[in-house]
Amino acid sequence: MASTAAGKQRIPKVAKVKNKAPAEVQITAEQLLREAKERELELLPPPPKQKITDEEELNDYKLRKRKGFEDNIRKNRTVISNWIKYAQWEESLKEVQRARSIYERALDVDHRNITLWLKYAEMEMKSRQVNHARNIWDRAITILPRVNQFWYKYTYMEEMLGNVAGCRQAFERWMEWEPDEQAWHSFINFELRYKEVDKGRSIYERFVLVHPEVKNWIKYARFEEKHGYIAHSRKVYERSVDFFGEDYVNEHLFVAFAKFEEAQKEVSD
Amino acid sequence: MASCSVTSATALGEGQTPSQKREERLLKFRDLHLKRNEARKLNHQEVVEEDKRLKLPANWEAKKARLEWEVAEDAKKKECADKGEDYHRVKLLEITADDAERFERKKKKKNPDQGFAGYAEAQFRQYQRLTKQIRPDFEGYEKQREECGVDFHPTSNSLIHGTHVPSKDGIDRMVDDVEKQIEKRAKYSRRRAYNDDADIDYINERNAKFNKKAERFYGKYTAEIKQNLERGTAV
Repeated sequence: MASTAAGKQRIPKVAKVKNKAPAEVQITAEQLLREAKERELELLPPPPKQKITDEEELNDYKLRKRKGFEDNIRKNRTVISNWIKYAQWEESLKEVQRARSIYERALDVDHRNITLWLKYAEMEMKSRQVNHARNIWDRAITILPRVNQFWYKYTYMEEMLGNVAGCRQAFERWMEWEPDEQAWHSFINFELRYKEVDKGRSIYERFVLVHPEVKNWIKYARFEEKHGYIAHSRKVYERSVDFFGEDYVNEHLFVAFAKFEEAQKEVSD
Repeated sequence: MASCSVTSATALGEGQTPSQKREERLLKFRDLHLKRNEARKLNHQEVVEEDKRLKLPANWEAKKARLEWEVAEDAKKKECADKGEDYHRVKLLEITADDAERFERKKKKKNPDQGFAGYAEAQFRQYQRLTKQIRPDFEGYEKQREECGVDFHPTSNSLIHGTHVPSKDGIDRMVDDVEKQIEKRAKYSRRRAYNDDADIDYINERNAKFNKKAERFYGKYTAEIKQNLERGTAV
């Protein structure tokens, strides 16, 4: 009895509710939110701006930041942006080796993440580490060969470096996977940039077999026409007519063939 | 000048008195004065004109030509309207074949940004833009052709993989290109203005962004429901 009496005195009694009818003016959720925002309870003053004066302070700063990043990763290692922010920060400090190790650890977590590979390769390229970059691109295209971004960026990098043969080899490796039509066109355009019309022709030959559609045969013929090889163009049209035979007769092919012949007569007469 | 007056006097004849000779010389002298004055006047006029010309704005000639052309066009339009012909058809009949070609080429495709379709598509768009800007280095190309020999057109199994040593220029070009890409990427998202008197439906900043995202995707479907709730009753 004594304890309960003492207990009741210490804990204030909850007021007994007599009138259980709703009040006339009800508060709304929006009003609550508005009031909460105005009170600015969670608004903290900004941390004081500190200038780093000597090496020890710099090391302290780095330690703090690294600990922060590692803690975030430990909280959730699948959120890739934690890894990327950490690696970008190390890169900004020109700590390339540390950044590499972070990217490798991240790839251990999720090797199928495209941005990781892209950011990793970009870091190596920015730091002028050409062979490291090539290695990353090589691994990326081996592990994820159906991700076109890697191939495009790899071949572009080799072209920028002036390694045209290497670029060609990368394209050849890509074409082995028989990718979509746009990839073939990128290869052909690359060869045409260096005026290699014969090489372009051989690529077109393979292309029309991998993607045996009428419009691709027509594109091949028009490519020959554009570069002035009229006899070849005619041959391509004829071959395509044979290729599709009688079962897959397509009017577009004949229309294109006819237009081509008409254009030839106009030019010659 | 004195000598020619003397020669002309002697040419006229021996029977000229000194005073007549003097008269003639004075006349000639006056003529010369008049000529000199005339010359000075004309020179001065030229100077004034040139000064005015120099003071004109840079493309006055171009502007004048354009204004005149516009006046001519208006006159022609009126003429066509009077005659009852279509101005455009008449114009088309007048331009020559190669002019027409040039206009078509000038109009070349603008390729406007259709908004985000997917990361692969966006990267491909970037790839198209970058490859259109490549200026191939044909000298380096020929040099590499000589060095490689057969391997210049490699297969996927060729052993040139990993043997290329890029020149400093090549590396510089690559690095510059990467940095330009990063710069362009930084400008993709812009800062939106903060609307002070918009309703607050969030409890912190992250929540605010999420609500904006939800509004973007579902806003057009839930607008009616929201209005009904606001009003308190359905219509």
